[in-house]
Amino acid sequence: MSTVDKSVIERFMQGQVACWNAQDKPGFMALYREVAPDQLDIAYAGRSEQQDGWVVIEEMWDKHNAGITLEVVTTIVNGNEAAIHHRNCITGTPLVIESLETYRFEPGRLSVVYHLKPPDTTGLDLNQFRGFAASNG
Amino acid sequence: MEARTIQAFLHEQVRAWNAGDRSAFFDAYRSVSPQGLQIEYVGRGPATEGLLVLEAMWTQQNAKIEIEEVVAIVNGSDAACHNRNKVRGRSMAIETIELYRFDEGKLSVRYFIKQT
Repeated sequence: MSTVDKSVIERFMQGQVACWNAQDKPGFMALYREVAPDQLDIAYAGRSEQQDGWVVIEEMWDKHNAGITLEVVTTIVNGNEAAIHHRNCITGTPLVIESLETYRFEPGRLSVVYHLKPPDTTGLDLNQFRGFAASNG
Repeated sequence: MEARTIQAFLHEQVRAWNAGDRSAFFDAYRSVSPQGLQIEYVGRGPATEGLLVLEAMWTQQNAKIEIEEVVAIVNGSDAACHNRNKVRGRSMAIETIELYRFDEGKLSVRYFIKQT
């Protein structure tokens, strides 16, 4: 049973991509604060440790916004959850990190899980990305 | 479970589905979930007995749907897949994102289905 309106979820999903690609950090962070005023959890699939979500997205923005553009392959909203397929395109290269991401919305709280597929290359230091650093492979 | 075992399962279930090979399809699931299988349609209530879900899915959909794998990602004991479920003989497809969690002989599956 959905406890967060579907239109709110769809606005967030579209808005975060638009803000990321427009390099609009205030807009991006405002979207997250709007849906997660009480708690933001972000986890990487296959990894047990979980960081504070605000730390993760602040770091993600600061380290990667200038170097990655998002392409939306599909967005699915079912009930109070969303699943998306993004292509994270590394600027100036043909390299792409594929991500399948799930978002669970509850009143005041958002829980995100990233599934990440590294690009087929040996020429990229994957340790710069939190989701790959010292990870499961 | 090793990543290559999970990858092999993910591809085998699609191959068997598209080939109409019911035995191979269910064998693939049994091989990775000897302790139990649960399947949830996200947003439609809790997970239920997975083999019953698969039986109904096969009976109702196999002749009508061909699966195209868009991407499959395995991270540890978790997998996520984006599939296009193409309606045979038509130009339409149903997009799904599917989550698979392998845990000590148990498999939990969650389907996100894009409403058309």
